[in-house]
Amino acid sequence: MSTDEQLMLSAAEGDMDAFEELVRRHQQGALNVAYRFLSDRTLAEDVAQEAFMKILAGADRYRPSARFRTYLYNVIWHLCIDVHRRRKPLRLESLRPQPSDEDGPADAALRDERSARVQAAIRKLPPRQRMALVLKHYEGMSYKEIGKALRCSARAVDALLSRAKRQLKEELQDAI
Amino acid sequence: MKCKKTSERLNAYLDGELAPDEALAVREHLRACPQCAAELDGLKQLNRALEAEPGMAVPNGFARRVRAVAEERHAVPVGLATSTARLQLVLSRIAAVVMVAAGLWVGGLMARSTSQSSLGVEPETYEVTEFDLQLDPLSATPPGSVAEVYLAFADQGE
Repeated sequence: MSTDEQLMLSAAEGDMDAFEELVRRHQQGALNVAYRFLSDRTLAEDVAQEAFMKILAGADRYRPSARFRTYLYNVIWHLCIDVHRRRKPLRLESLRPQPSDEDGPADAALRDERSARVQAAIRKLPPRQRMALVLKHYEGMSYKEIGKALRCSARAVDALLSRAKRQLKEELQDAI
Repeated sequence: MKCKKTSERLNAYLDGELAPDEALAVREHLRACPQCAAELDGLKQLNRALEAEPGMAVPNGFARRVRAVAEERHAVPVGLATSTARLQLVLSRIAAVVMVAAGLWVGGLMARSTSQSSLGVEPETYEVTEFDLQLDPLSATPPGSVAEVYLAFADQGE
């Protein structure tokens, strides 16, 4: 099986099968990162699609100095920031978890309320802290990888995440 | 390690991002400090709440749609990289070269036959008319201009 880097090189030569395979491999992560940052499915889809377009457009200049995923998330980060700056008023979308058969109505209501509060608290974080949190907690990236995606040091990522957690703990102290 | 320092390093400790010696120092402090241990539990709870949040399902046909948009936007031929498509491209280029060469060859033949058939026919002659253009656009009264006619009338009047 080809690596992401090999697929990128093939895509740069016009191999659209390779490009589609890259999209298939990373579509879930790309959509999730954009969605968790923007809280809007339509915008997340637009951002993810645009990110893949940009990656294809710059494929001939791609140098595999970092993992492809890090490169992709860096592109998504910039697109999300653009959307974040342009977007007014903020479109918010409730991310309702799928109901489980084991849950009674009271449990489901409680969980929905807690989920809504967690999302609201995440949305209140400054953009860079929010993206660092998304990449750490939902994509499982290391501080070093996050630093590469956000163009900062691992130490800066540490500080971003510590501040984000402190704020979230204050916001959610009676909800978790 | 003091409580303040431990508290600052707790998140990185939980994320497994501390150097071994620093992680050891945090672990030893946590064993002796219930307050910092409780803070660690709070962080763990927060992480669990964050990770319970649902993500976004991939819309049907997303990858294919992205490819279609890319092909439209970048005008990349569909499946160019497949061997069949590459062969088609090479063949079409060869066909184009052959057609151009054939066109030049037929054109050359036709030109030769035309020049041979025109032998013995008197060449058409054209009378060349020379125009004496004296219009001087930089002159105040270029010959034939309204200004010149006006001055001529004015002279007659005097």
